[in-house]
Amino acid sequence: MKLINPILLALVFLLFGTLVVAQEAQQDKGSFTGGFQNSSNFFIRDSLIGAFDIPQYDYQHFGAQSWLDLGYTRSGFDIGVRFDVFNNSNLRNPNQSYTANGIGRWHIGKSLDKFDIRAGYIYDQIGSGIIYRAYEERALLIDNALKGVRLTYKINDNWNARVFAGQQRNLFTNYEPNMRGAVLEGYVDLTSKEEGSKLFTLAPGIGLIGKTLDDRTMSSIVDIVKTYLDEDRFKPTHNTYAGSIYNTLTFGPISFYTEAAIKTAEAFNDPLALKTNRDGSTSPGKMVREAGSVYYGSLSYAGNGLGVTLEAKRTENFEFRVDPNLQLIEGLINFIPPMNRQNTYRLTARYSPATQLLSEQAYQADVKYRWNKKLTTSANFSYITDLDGNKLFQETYTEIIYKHSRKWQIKGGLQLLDYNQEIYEQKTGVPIVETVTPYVDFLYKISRKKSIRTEFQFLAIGDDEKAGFKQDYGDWLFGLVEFSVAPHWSFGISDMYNITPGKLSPTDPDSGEKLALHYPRIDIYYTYKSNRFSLSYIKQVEGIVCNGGICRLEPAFSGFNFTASSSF
Amino acid sequence: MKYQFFALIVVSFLLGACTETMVMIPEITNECTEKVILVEELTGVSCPNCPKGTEAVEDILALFPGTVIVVGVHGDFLCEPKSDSKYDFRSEPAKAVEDFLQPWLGKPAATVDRFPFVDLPDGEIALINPNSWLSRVEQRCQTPQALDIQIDSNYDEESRQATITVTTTGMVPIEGELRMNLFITESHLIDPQDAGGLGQGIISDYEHNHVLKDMLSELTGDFLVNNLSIDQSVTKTYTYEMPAESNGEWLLDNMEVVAFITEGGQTRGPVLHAAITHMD
Repeated sequence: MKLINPILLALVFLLFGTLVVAQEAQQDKGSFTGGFQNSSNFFIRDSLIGAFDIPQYDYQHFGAQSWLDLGYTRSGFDIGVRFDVFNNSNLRNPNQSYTANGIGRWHIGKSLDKFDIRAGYIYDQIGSGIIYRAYEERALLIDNALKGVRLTYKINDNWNARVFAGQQRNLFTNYEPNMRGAVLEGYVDLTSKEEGSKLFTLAPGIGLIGKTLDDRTMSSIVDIVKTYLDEDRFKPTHNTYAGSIYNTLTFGPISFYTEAAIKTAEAFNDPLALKTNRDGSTSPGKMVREAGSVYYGSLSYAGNGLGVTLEAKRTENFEFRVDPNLQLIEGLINFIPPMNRQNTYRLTARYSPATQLLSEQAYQADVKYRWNKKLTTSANFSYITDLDGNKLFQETYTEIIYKHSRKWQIKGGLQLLDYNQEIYEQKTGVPIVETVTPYVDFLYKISRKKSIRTEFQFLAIGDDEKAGFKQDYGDWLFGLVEFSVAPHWSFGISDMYNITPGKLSPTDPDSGEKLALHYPRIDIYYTYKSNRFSLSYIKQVEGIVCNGGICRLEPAFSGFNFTASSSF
Repeated sequence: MKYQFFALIVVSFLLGACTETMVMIPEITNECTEKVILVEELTGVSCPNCPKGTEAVEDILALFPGTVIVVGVHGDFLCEPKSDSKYDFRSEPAKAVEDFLQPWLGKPAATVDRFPFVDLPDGEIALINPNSWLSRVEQRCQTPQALDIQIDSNYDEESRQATITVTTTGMVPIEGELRMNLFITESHLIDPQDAGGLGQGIISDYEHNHVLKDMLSELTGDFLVNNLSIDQSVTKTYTYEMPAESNGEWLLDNMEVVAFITEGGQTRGPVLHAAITHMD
C-alpha cells in the first residue's frame, strides 16, 4: 500500500485536475463514467437445509460486498479506479467470513500516435484465453488482472502487437511470481475483388507468456518435493513458458477458429498421480512436473435460417497458475473454454461441468434452425471424457420456440444429462448422475407494458442402487411466475420442490425419514434508467455455480438478498 | 524500423526461454532438538481427501519419532458420520478448536505448533496442502527447547476419574504470559472413512487415531504464569471423568492426555512445547 498511495494521489490529482481543466476549456470535456454494484445478504439460519455453522448464520447475520468504479477518458488519456468493500462477505469462501476494503483496481493509460501505454491493473486475453486471460467475474470473485504495464503498438490498420509484464492481482495485494507476455494479432482480407465474391478473411495471432517463480514460491515447492521418495522427486524450474497460435478463418457463412497451445514443463498438483509412501504403498495425489497442451477448434455456419457450430477440444496437463500451491479458482493465469451449453434455467443448470485442466477430451455440436418467423428449433449435444476415455459429462438439449404474433411466446424442450459427480464435486462412491429434465417457458404480454412469464421444469434423476435412494438430492419440480410492468417493476415468485428426496436430501431428526422440502424464492426488481435494485427472499439448496466452465460448490443459502447496480 | 523493434522484443522474450539452472532438492533433516512439536490435523470422516492428510501425518510420525504429537480434530466441516458409522467423532471441544484455528480454506488442513509461517497470509496458521506439512515440521524441529512438561495421570477405574498433574519447568528465561492447554485423545477407533481422494470410496474399517475427545482447559489455554525463569516449575492439576465405555469407544487403553504450552497470552500461540502420556 505504501507504493500505491502516491500513485493513487497522482491519479486523483490527475482526475480532478483534468476535470477542472475540462470545465474551463469548454472543449474536449472528455467522458466520465462509473458504476456501482452491491450485493447484501441477510442470513437466516436453517440447519435443516445446511444453512448454518458459518459466522454469518451463527452471529454476524449480515454480509455484503460492493464495488465502485470511476473512470475518465480525455485526449487519449484513460484513467480509472475501483473501490472494493467486503463486509463479513461469504463471496471469497462460502463457508467463511471476509472483511476488507480498499482500492481493488486502478489504471492509467494513454494513446499516443500508434502506441497505447497502460499501467496499473490490466485486463487482457490472448486468443481464446487458453494461455492467458486476465478478467473479472464478480459472481465467483475472480479478478486476476495483471498489475503491471502494457505497451500496444498499432503496426498498421490490420496488425497490432503488444507486450506486457507484471504480477497477478490477489484481492488487495498481488502474487509474488512475475509474468510477461507478447502478442501479435492481425487481419488478412483475401476476398476477391470480383463482384459477388464471398468474404474470405483470416484473423491470425500468436501469443507467448512467461512466468518466473519467486524464491518463496520455489522454496514451498522444494519443501514439498524433498519429502518425496526418490521415485517421485523432480527438479523444479523457476520459469515456465506457454505459447499459442490461433486463427479465425471466415469464408462466406463459414467461420473456423483453431488454436493450439503448449506449455513447458512446470510443477503442479496432480490429484491422480500416484505417490509412493514410506511404507511402500501408493496413494493418488502429488506434485509433478510435466509439459502441457491444449488443442481447440470451432467450426460454425450461419445462413438461410440455419446455424451450426461444431467444437472439439483436447486438454492435457494444462494447469497454469501463478503458484502451483494454489487451488480451485485461485491464481489461474489462463481460461480454457467450456464445452457444454451454458444453461440458464434453474434445473437445467443444476449440473454443470467445470473445465478439467489436466485431462479432458470434449466435443460439442449445436444446431439451430429458424423455420419461419414464428418457429425456431435448436439442439445441442456435448460429450466430455478424460483422456483415458472415462465419461465425465454428456448432455443432449433440445428447444422449440414458438412466437404467436407479439402477444405470446412459448418455449420448451428436454434435457438429457449424465454428470460424473465423483469427479466434478469430489463426492465419493456415487454413480454418474443421470437426469431427464423437460421444461416449458410461457410469456404472455397482457398489454404494451405488462407481461407475465411462467416457467415449469421437472428434473427426474436416476437411482443410487447402492445407497437405496434416488441419486444426489432426488427429483425436483420447479415453478416460477414473473409479472413485469415495464419499464420499472418486475415481481417473481418461484419454488423448487424436492418432490422425491434423494440420498443427500435432509433427514427428519425424529423419524429419520428423508424430507421433501420446498425452496421458495420471492423477488422484487426495480429499474430506473441505468439503476437496478432487487430484494429477494431466498431458500436455496446446495449446488454448483459455474461461469464459463469455472465452477465452485456453493452451500445452501437461507435469507434475504438485496442488490443494487448503477452505471453512469 | 518499427517491425524490427517488436521483433527484437519477441526474440528477447524467446531467448529468455533458454535452459535455466535446475533447483537442487535437499534431503529431509530429522536431527531435531528435544522440543516436541504439536500437529493439529483438521479432518473429518466425510472428507474424501482427509486420508491423504492422515498419510502425511503418519509419514511425519515415522520420520520424527518422539518429536511430534498429533491431535485429530473432527470439528464440524465434513465430519458428519457415514450411514454405517458406529461413532460420531464430532464434539463441542473439537468444533471449538476447529473454529479457533480459522481461517482455513478446506480440509485436510493442519497447524504445526500453531506457528504463523512467514509465507502464510496474515492471521493464518492452517496449512492446506498435506504435502507441505512434513517440511514445516522439519523447520520447527530445529527450534531450541524452551521448557519441559511432565504429565502424571492417575486413573481410578471405579470412578473412571483421572487426576492429571502437569508440571512445567523453564529451561531458558521466557517472558510474557504462558498458558496451559490440555486435550484428551483416543486412538484405534475402527470406523468408516470417506477415502474418495485415494480412489478407494468408503473404507469401512479405517483406523482413526489421535481423535480429540475432550478439552480440559479453556480454548485459549488456562493461565499458567507470567514469565518463566530457568528451573522454575509450575504445576497444575486437572480431574477428568471419562464417559462409560460404549461400543468400543472410551477404552482406557486407547486414551491419551496431551498437554502443550502456548505463549502470547490469550491467543492461538505459537506452541512452545508439548507432551503426551497414557491416561492410566
